[in-house]
Amino acid sequence: MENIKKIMCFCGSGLGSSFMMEMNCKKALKSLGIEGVSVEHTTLADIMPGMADLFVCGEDLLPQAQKAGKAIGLKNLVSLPEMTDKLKGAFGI
Amino acid sequence: MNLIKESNVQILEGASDWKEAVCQSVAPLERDGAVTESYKEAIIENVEQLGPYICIAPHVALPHARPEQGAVKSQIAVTLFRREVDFNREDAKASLFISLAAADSESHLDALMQITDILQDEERTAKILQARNVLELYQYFK
Repeated sequence: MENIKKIMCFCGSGLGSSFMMEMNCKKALKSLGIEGVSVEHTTLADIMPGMADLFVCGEDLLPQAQKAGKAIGLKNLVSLPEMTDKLKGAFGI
Repeated sequence: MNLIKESNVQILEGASDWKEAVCQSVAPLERDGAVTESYKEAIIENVEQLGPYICIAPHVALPHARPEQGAVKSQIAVTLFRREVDFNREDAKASLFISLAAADSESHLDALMQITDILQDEERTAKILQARNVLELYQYFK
């Protein structure tokens, strides 16, 4: 399993969809039984390489996220199954 | 949801393009003084620069920008377009616009949690997209 301790969700504004992703991410981690991971949300403008072990965003912003590090892009920002699936991939489980 | 008023819920036939749709969906917030006139322009500018990040789920858009881009008080307006609005990008189409004005980074979070729960229920979302009138549409978000 990958060593991911901090996840940063972000969107264009940093307070709408990024927050929805943060909540979903926490739900998905819980259902996967993964503990000890902090999840936060912010805006695209504040994304910096090294600030998190994994970045989560909408598909459109994925290229920008990948510049900062390991990242997953979501088609449906509120879908729990999609979040869970992609987190599984990122954690290698 | 205390950020949504029935008077800020509307059903419209359609819009000529996504920019007009954003303006129409933000109009109730503007009328109410929840956002300044520059807010809709900020959303349009952000989408032009970053892509349609406001399309959050199939058929659903969440137009929003930063507090400093013109949000005065936290409030939400709901607009259902009978004709789906195309963002000129593959997959980016929406008929339900949930426009969000967040005056700070806290006061709207409860409402967003509830909206996320609503949208995670696919059956309920399908019903929302078929709402026959404003009152019915409002009930789903009450």
